[in-house]
Formats: sequence, structure tokens, C-alpha cells
Amino acid sequence: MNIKSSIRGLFQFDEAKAEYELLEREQGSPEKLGGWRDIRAQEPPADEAIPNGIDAVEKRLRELFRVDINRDIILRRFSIGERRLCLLAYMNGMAADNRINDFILRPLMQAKLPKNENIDIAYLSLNVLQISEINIKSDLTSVKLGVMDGLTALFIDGDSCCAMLETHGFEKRAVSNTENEKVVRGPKEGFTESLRTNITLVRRIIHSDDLVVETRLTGGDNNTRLAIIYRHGITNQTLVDEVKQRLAGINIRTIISSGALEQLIEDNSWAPIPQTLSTERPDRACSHIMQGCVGVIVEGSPFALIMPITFSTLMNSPEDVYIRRPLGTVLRVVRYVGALISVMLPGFFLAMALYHQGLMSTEVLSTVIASREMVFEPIATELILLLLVFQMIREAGIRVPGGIGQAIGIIGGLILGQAAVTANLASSVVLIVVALSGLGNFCIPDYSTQIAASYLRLALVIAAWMGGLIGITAATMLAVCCLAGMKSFGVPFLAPFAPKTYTKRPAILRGALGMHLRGDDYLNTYDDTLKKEKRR
Amino acid sequence: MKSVIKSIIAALLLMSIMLITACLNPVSLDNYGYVISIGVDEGKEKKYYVTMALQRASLAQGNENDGGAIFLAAEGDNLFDAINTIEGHISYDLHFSRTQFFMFSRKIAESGAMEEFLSLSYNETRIRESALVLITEQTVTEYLGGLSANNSANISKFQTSLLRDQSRTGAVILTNVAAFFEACAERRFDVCAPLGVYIDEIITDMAQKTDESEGENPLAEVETGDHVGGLKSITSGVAMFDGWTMTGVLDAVETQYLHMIRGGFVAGTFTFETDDGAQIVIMLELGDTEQSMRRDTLYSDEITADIRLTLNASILQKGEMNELEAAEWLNSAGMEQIRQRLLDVVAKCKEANSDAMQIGRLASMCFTSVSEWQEYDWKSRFKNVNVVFDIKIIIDDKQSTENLR
Amino acid sequence: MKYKEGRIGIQEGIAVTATALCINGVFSIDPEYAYSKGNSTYLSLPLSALLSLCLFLLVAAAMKHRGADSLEGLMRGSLGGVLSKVFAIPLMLALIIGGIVPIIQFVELLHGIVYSNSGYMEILAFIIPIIVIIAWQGTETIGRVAKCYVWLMLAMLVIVVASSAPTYETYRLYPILGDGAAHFASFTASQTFSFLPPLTALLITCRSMHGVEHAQRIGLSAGLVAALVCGLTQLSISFVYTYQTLADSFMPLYKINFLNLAESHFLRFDKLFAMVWLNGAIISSAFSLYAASLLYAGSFSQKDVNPSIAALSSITLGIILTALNMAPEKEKEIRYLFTRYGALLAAVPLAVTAIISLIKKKKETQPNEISH
Repeated sequence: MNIKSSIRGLFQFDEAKAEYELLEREQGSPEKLGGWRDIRAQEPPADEAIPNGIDAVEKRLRELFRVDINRDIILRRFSIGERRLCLLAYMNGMAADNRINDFILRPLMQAKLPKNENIDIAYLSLNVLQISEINIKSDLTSVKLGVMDGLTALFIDGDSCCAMLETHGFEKRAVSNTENEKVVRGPKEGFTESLRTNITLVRRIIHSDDLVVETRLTGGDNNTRLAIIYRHGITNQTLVDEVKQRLAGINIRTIISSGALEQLIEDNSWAPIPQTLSTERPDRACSHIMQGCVGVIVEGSPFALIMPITFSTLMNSPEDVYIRRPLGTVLRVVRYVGALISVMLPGFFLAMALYHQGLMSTEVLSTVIASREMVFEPIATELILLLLVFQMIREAGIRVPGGIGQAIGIIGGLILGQAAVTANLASSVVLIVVALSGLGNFCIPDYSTQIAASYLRLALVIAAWMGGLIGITAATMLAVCCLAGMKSFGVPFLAPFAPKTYTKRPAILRGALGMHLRGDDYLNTYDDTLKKEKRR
Repeated sequence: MKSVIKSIIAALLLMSIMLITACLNPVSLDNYGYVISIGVDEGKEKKYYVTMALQRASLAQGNENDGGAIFLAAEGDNLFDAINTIEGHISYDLHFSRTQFFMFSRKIAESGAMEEFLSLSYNETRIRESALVLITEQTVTEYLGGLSANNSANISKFQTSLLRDQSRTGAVILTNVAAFFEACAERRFDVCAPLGVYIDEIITDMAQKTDESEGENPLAEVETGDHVGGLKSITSGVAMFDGWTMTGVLDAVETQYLHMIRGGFVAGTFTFETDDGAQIVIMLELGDTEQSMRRDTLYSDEITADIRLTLNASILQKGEMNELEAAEWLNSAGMEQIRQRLLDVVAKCKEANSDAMQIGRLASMCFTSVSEWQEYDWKSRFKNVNVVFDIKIIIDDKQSTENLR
Repeated sequence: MKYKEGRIGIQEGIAVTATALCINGVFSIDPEYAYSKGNSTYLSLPLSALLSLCLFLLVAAAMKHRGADSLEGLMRGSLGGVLSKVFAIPLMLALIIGGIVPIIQFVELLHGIVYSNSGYMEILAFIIPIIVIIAWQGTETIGRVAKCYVWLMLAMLVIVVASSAPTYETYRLYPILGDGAAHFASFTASQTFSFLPPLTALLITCRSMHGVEHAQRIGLSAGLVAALVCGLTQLSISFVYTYQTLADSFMPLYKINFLNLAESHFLRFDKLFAMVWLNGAIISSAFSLYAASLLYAGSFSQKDVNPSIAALSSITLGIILTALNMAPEKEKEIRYLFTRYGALLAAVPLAVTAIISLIKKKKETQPNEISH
């Protein structure tokens, strides 16, 4: 869609585009599907039947997997009980050799088969194979995908079916502490890159029979698997259908991680603030799934995507619920104040310094003037440069390995800052403003939201440079307008504040624990009955 | 083609941002000098001599020469003339949004020239209407100089000290530009402004400053009776106004009584003399007040206002009297003395034709129609005002009972 | 139909309507008309709000009687196609002018006191695009933005009123009721021009409010809140300034703290407070602009509201610039006309529509008047 047609679209007479809405009160009964997203343009290839005869199968597999140049694929011929020829196909490194040897090859090769029995895949699955999971497939597409995923394909001469045997055995990272969502009091485990491990971590927390995990492929050519997790019978089915619809509409060459997937399925990918929650904590993901959200985990990514979310979801930390209520409330208030300071302080300071000097007290004015006496740059460029330097220190701290990373923060913060003031490259007051703003930024729990807040901060600084308080007013109002107009999978982003939805749980303060266990109204779950609490 | 269109649009956006960036004319705060006080005296060659005190920039841990005031002064036929002259000789612009004081010398105030300055100042220079007005007995230049003492880095704190004086002693009544406008536009009452006095004999702070003087006696050269410490400029008493023109002065004690009449008095110390010549010192605190106008006297030759005052008294010093005697004296002769002093203040106000007592407010509350009130013309009838005081004194019983025990 | 109506809840509806009513009530007063003959605005403004509410309730009752789901549906059903279009025009004019009067006041304040070295256009460059963008997004966004700002604006108002309390004096209210009942009554009637446009906008956007019943509830709550807020604000101003000072002043609420003798950081924040209230004026203006566009699109059977918004935004900008750059005498004449007779622009079409709707018999076979 080019710019001309976009501009024309703003002004021409047009029918309204159907939009997915989750709140019943917004549009009556929620509409099921968006209707305007393209279903995947590329038709999946037609299923190819398994050829008859081992030789034909082996030949076809050699072509399919390019065995002559692709040495990862192992094709092993053997016979069962000296009677029937079989072929195993698996990928070296993805499938566990010892499982193949001990539970497939040995039992099959040493099997004493009855003479008058029809030996086919079904018989072997029931009586000979000692593998926990067996799926019978009859098309080569499933075989191909299964082998590349780490399964072993067993073909038997004369049978047009194939057994896909569970032999996953690739190397993976062990479950370890979370890198970015540390808490003092609470579980320390984090997701890993293995989809199976991540699903297990979820199931260890939610022992509920209504928890459903649907696995499917992402839309990319690399056929990465993902899992859609939700509570069947609790989570609103239209929400689940919408998530599936959006996932089905993906048409892109490669999807490596959940970050790319997030941008492909959310409502407004141009917005700096995310509309899905990306978390590496199983407990946080489960908390949202229990309330009625849908979780998506992608193979190869240690982050789970949770949708739908609201602004308060991004500002809440899982630790809020693990500590006592007054402390949780104080922490949340400090967090919001920190975020506000991070975004507003530099712009506000610049507006006062350039346009509204009367707002500052005489003492502050005289201190700022004295501190800037020999600084050569105008105050606006000084502020923007210091903000940029702060971001550079932050990026350097992330990229630089281990022990040096901490030192970078100390070097940047103390030595550079002090040296800059001494060399009259920066003033101490502006440095403090930038430092406070940076500290406030780190109060925001979600990484993407931190970055978004940094952008907004810069936009407000530029707005303050252009117009002072009226510039800040206009920019803030624009930001609020964008947030108010945004939706996350049909849920208004500023719910439950705007629109007001029924909830006994405060959005900012931490309510009583009982309130946190009930689903949020805006999720429109099917479980509407509120359990009565026992009075103490 | 698409990238060309995008580049053109991006360039247009960038240009518009750059054009808009300078459109509201930002000026950095370090390009301004912030005027804390403006003073107006009579000029020699031109009509007026305008003095300004600016706050000197000061770092948090600067040396002792940081802070304090910078003084700028020039003559001019009006305020803007003087400002232009001053700005022509400095490297920064003057900024008046932090101006806290507008000072006029007595001569200027008595000539009625204040209107010219105060009417223009807010609209053109953005001096806030909350700026306090102060009249100086001597020249403003002397008074401003006396406010800038040694070791006083922050001259803007002078305002809070005046507020404390008003509530602690009642010897100062503050007023600001907005109150002047209100009084002079409506003529319901008149204002009174604090009176500043410069006393050269005061020896300012004698702190040990240098290593060479360490160990020396800082009071070595001070003689008995010298006033040591603080500022050379003090504020005591008020100047009364009839509209824009200053017409009289009340000293500190009279100001306290005026404050009582207005109902704004909080607490203060008073010294009385008994018939025997003994001195009795009393702390008075104003309790309930009731002010009303007798409507039937509004159009008569003796317009009567009733003021009921309840004073809470603590006897601080009673000479040779005991508690009961002192209390009895206070409730009889003492009360009479207070009433007389109040009536003296009323007489002085009438003599100066200044409704600094704000009795006109009470008169205005008797009218139900704007046209009737405007026809009434309160100021022309002010000389016929008669105030009747009903004073009740409540003595601090706890103190006297304890002493009796 | 691309009308961008969406749905908003009762709280958002009250927020946007109350914001528009309060901003118009507090900041749209002509000081000379209101104060030169005494000050009774703390009584007349709430009465004016209640009077406007009565008309609003009458029209809402007519809409329920005829089963109309919005104002333009009611107009078409009761007046017919041609007359409804004719009546829509003064309503649109009332909405646009009602929305821009506070903006003009704020621009003049900012130009005079805050950005005195800049022109009107430079200040408008920050305000008009925001109004247009918010109006463009539709009712949902307008309602939610209003909900976000309403408590902040109320808090700022309370802070300003409370911090000026030390300077309150009862004598400044006198003479009470000004100069007689006639002036009081005429001022009360003419001030409905401040309150009718937001209530009219509410009737136009009924569908977004989940129907007439909810819109009625929203209007009633918002109207009562506005009456209280306007009355208390005017009372506060009246305690600080006498009628003579007010008659010559411009936006007295801005400098209500100037009589305060104590110097504190709080009392220096008048510019900040003005910016917060400017947010309210922007929301009010966006709501009016959107409602006017919706009325036009509905009355003239347009399928899309975007072209109307674009066109009316340009007209709005033109009117604002003309008003700001007009010669003072001309501006005074036009202000005189609108402050005294402007209420008729909205009141007459609404009253006529309501009365005809109530009188006219509805045919039994006639379907409910759904506008599209």
C-alpha cells in the first residue's frame, strides 16, 4: 500500500473496516473474525502419498532430503526377523541415537514374529516397538516435517503408512534463572529455547484439565513450531480464534523468534509500545493464562507472548503479588512515579529553562545559571546529547561481556559525568536531570516499554524545545490519544481505566489477593461466577 | 519512484520541523538577569531614578563571594526608558517574572506617580501582580543596599521574613500590586504599604571571616548601645494611601492597632504604662472579631461602624502588681488605653483621608444594587465615619491560677 | 457507513460531556456582559446549565417517543428531509462556535502572557492539529482521552480554588445579584449558549452512548456536575475579585492566586494549570467538531465522516484566525451578538424539533427513525 493510496484512503468515501472487538459492550456480541486480514497467500503443497516399496521410498527420501549433499539425514535399512525390509530415516543430532538403537532397532531386529501374522506398521506399533509416542502418517510432508523436527520415520516394505517415533534428543539449554525479569521473592526459573521444555514449565504450574496446548507451524519457510496455550471453556473462544486467524495469516520467509511473530500479529506494529506481553517467566505467563489470556510460545525463543494486554499489564511486575499488599502498593506507586519522571522530567525542565523561567524558584534559577556559566552548547542540545550518551552507556552495558559490563556503568556514570562537568561540556544540573530520568526508566518492568518510554521522552524534549509547555501539552495529548485509540486483540489498551470495565482490582494500586485471582472483565471469560471468600 | 516520494515527504517534514522549532522564540535561562526588586526614586536630571536588585548566580557549594545581589540603576522619564538604558549596558536581558518587590521612595509615593508605574508594569514587563509594594522613608537605593548584607546569598528570602513579621508581631501590613489595583479601581477602601527604613548606625554581621582574624574578638570595636547584626534596612510601620497617593504614616505600634481594626492581626506584644508610671507588658492575640455597619447611618453625617474585638491576653511583665491586680487593671484601665489607641488610629486615618481600616467594605455590604452603591461614593463620605469599639479581653487563666498557687 | 462511532461507556460519556460543559461554562464568559452590572454569575451559570439540561431532556424525551437513535434521525423523522437539513446548519454553527470560543480565549491568553513574542498562528500550530487528530479518531478515542484527563483537570481546579482561599473576602460578592432581576434573567438565558453545544453533541452521538436512555443519564449527570463546578468556580472568583475588577479582566481564573501574599512554588504554577485546562478545551473542541461532522454526514446522507471532519476543521481554523486577527471594534460587535443571541442558534432548532416530534402523531406502521 503506497503513500498515495494511504492518503486517498483517508479522504475518500468508504465502508468501515471490520475490526475485532473483545468487549461485548463495545459492539454488541463480539464479531468472530476480522475479515480483512489475508489468509496465507501461499497454498500449502498438496500431500504426497508414501510410495509403495522400500526402494521407491528410499529413492524419494534421497531426493527430498538431498542426501547426496546433505549428510545430516541418515537412511538405515534393516530387516525384521529376517522377513520384512524396513527403512529408518532420521536426522543426525536431532534424534537420540541411543533411543533408536535400544528401543527401535534392537527390538525390531530381534523380534520373533509369528508366521501367519500380517506384519505392518500397526502390528509393530502395538507389539514390538518400545517407544512412548508413535504417530502413523501416510503422507511424505508430515514425514519430512517430523524428521526435521527430530522424530524417526519407520517404513516397512509393502505398507503405505509410516510410523513417526518420538526420538527427540538434541542438545538444549537447561532451565536457568531469568536474565531480564529478576525478582527478589518469587520463582527464578525462566523459559528456554525448547518448546517442549517450555510447555512442561507451564504444565508444572497449571495442573488444570482445561489447559489446552495446540501446536502448529508458524507461517515462515523455516517451519518453526509454536504452541498456543489457553484454558478451554474459560478463555473467550473468539479471542482464541482471532489469535489463530492472525497466526494463519503470516506470510513471511523466516520466523526465528517470538519478537518477529509479535510484530506480525499485533494490531499496530508501527506503535513503539508493544500490544503483547513478552515474558521469560513461566509464573507470569501462567498467571495471565489462568485469567483468560492466550499464550503463544515459539520454538527457539525463551519468551512467551501473552495477549491481550493493557497498559497496566506492562507496568506490573510479577513480584507485586508475591509480597505483602502495602509493600506491593508502594512499589507500584514508585514505579509509576518513576515512569512519569522518566518521561516528563527532561521535557519539563527544558520547557522551563527556555520559555517559562518564572516557574522555577530563584534558588534553582541561580544554581542552574551558575552551573552553565562556561558550558558552550545551548541547553537543549546539551540535554539531547546527554540523553544520547546515556542510551549509549546503556547499550554498551548490554553488549559488553559479563564483568566488564558493570564497570561500564560505573565508568560512564561517575567518571564520564564528573569529567564532563569539570571540562564544561555539560552542567551538573542537566546531568542530574538526565540521570534521574534514566533511573526512572529502569523502574518500568517491561523492556520494550522502557524503550518506548525513551522515545516518548525524546519526543517530549523536542516538543518542549519547539514550544515549551504548549509543546509538551500537545505531544502528551497526542501520545494519550494514540494509546486511547490502540487495541490489543480487541481490548482497548487503557482498560480498565478508559473504558471503565467492571473490576474490583485496582489498576495501579495492588488490591487484596482475592481480587487478583478473578478474571478481568475485559477478557470476557466464560467463568462469570465469583467465588465467595471466606470471612476471617 | 516510491523512494523519491518518501524522500520528498521526509525532507518537507524535516524542513517544517526546523521552521517551527524557532517560531516561539525560546531564550535560554542563562541569557537573562532576574530582577528581584525594583525601586523608584526621584531623579536628578530625569524624572525618575530606577534601581534594580538582581539575584547573583550561586553554586551549591560556592565560595563566600557567590550569591547576594547585583545592583543596576539608571535614570529615565519612565520605567521603560530606565530599563532601556540599563539593558544597553549589560550582556543579558532583564527578566521580571521573579520580581517580588516594587519599592517607591516616600517622595514618589506622595506625588502620586505610583499609578504610572504599577499600571504599565504588569502588561508590558510581565511583573506579576503578586509583587509586594513597599515604601521607603529614605531613598530606595539606600534601602536596597541595606538589604544586601554579608553572607546573605539568597536575597529572595527577604519576602518570607516579612510574612513572618506580619504574623508574629503585626507591626507590618503587607500589600501587593493586585490589592492596589483593587483599591484604586473600586474605591471601597484604601491600601497601606509597609514602610522601610534604612538605619546606617547598625553594624552588620560581624563573623570571623579570614584565617588572619581567627582568634580575634569580632566584637572588639563595638561599643555599648550599638545595634549589632542583621540588615541595615528594616521594615516598621505602614504608609497610608488615599488612592494612589501616600498621605500619612503610622508607626509600628499604631500599625498593630490598625491591623486589629482590619481583623488581620494575629499576635503581638504591647507595652502599657499605669498611672503610677509602671510598665506592664502584655501579649495580645486577636480572637473573634465582628464588624458591621449601622445601615440607618449610611446617609447621615455620622456613619457608624461597630467593631467587636475579643483579645486573648497573656501578661508577660506586671511590675509590682500581683496577678489579680494586673488582671483587674487590664480589664479596666488597660482596656481603655487600648480603646483610646484604636480611636487615635481611626483619627489619623481620617486625617490622612485614607480608609486603611477598610471600613468601606462594610458599607458596600449594605447595598443590594450596583447603581445605588456607585452613586453612594464612599470615599467622599469617609470623613464622616465614626467607629465604635466593643473590646473584650480574656486573660490567660491558667497562668494566673498557677502563679496564685 | 464509516462514521467511527464505536461505543463508549457511561463514565467516558460523562467525562467528555462534563469536560465540554465545564470548559465552556468557565471560559466562555464575556466579562463585560457578565460583570459590569454586578456579579451574580455564581448563581446564573448553574441556572443556565439547568435550563440547558431541561431543553436537552425535552429533546431526549422526543427521541424516545419517536424511537430515534440520534438527533439527526429525530430531525429527519419529524421535520422531513429538507427542513432537517436547514435546521442542521445552525446547529453545526453553534457546535463549531461553542467548541472554538474557549480555544480563542486560551490562544489569546497564551499570546498575551506566556508567548508574547510569537504570533497567533505559531500557537495555533500546536493546538489545531491535535484537535483534528482527536476528532478524526472518533467517539471512542475522544471519550477515553477525556476520561484520562478529567480527574487531572478537576484536581487542578480544586488546587487553584483551594490555594486562593486565604484571599477570599465576602465583601467582594456585594452588591449581591448585581443590578436587578432583568439583567440576571437575560444573562442566564444567554449563557445557555455555553451549555447547549456539548449537550447537542451528546444527542448527536447517542448511538455511541448505547442509546437515548444512557445518553439521557450521561447528560443529566454531566449537566449537574457542570452546574456545580461552574457555580463553585465562579463563587471562588467572586470571593477574590469584585465585579469592577472582573469587568476589565481577561480570564480571571488564571490569575486568581495573584492576590496571595505568600510566595510558594504552588502559586507559581498558573501557566501549568492553564495548560491542563487547555487540554480540556482541546477535548471539548474535538468533541464539538466531530459531532458537527457527524450531524452533517447524517443529515446529508454521506457514507463517510472523514471529508466532513476535514472540511469543518479548515472552516474552524479560518474562523479562529479571523476572530484573532479582527479589529477590536468589529470583534466587540460580533462578541456582543453571540453572547446575547448565540443561544438561539442551538435552542430554536432543538426546541422546534422536540415540540413538533412530541405533537406530531407517529403512524402505527411507521418504523422507528433510525438514521441509517
